[in-house]
Amino acid sequence: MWNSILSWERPFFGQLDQLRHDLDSLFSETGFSDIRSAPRGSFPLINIGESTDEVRVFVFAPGMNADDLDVNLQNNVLSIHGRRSAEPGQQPGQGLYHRRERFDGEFTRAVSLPDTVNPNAVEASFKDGILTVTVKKRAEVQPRRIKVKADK
Amino acid sequence: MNSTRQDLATREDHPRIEQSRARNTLLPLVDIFEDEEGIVLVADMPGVSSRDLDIQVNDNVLSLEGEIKVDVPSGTEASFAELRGTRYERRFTLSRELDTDRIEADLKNGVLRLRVPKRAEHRPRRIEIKS
Repeated sequence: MWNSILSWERPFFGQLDQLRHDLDSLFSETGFSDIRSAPRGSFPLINIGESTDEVRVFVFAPGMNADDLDVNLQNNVLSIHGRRSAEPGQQPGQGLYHRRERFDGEFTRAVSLPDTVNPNAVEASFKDGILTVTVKKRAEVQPRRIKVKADK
Repeated sequence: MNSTRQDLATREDHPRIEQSRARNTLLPLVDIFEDEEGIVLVADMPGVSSRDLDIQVNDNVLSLEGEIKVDVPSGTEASFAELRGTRYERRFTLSRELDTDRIEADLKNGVLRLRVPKRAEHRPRRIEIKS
């Protein structure tokens, strides 16, 4: 469900998470955060989804191309490096900016993935300004079906 | 340019739906630049394809709406989320010298670039001074 990745609604802690979400929108930071998480308005924003056999990292990097992004995975730390340039065509002295909210410049971000990932089974794709990095989990931690031998 | 009247009526009838809609709505970050020819608006809307983008002008209000879609296989649960929302929405009032019939929009790699030209009679003209 793509919806669950974005809306952060979970079946068990739905109301609690909702409260946290509401608090998040009131204050820019809560007192409890991931060591590598970035403050509001950072670029690029990152979401991570996990299933039994893989971990998917979504990097929201609008205006960039696959070639502009340098993605590295060392053990279980994924880092993304790149540069986003300001819009071309706006010559200084020829007009004025009313708003400049969008990020421009160089960035590096890192996120830690679960220890169960296999750093050799990575795939990356880019669509509509989202870089998706899929890392498979190691075979030994994936669920296995166990055959039950019939008693003769 | 469709009227949003029907849309508004529906929202009033279902305040709860409207509430959850607002909770999942993000403000796209924008750059707005003006030169002699008109105004250029650049908006970051990652995850929005041209099919899911809606641009409207109603009573001099420009509204941008986009649905965020991410390719996630079933059975995936969020473990970390900095972007929390399923849609973008933002509105701007325009001024009368802008020609809303000639707006050009282009969406590429999650960035919307919108050009709103000024009406010809409002563009600055250089006035010749006779010697």
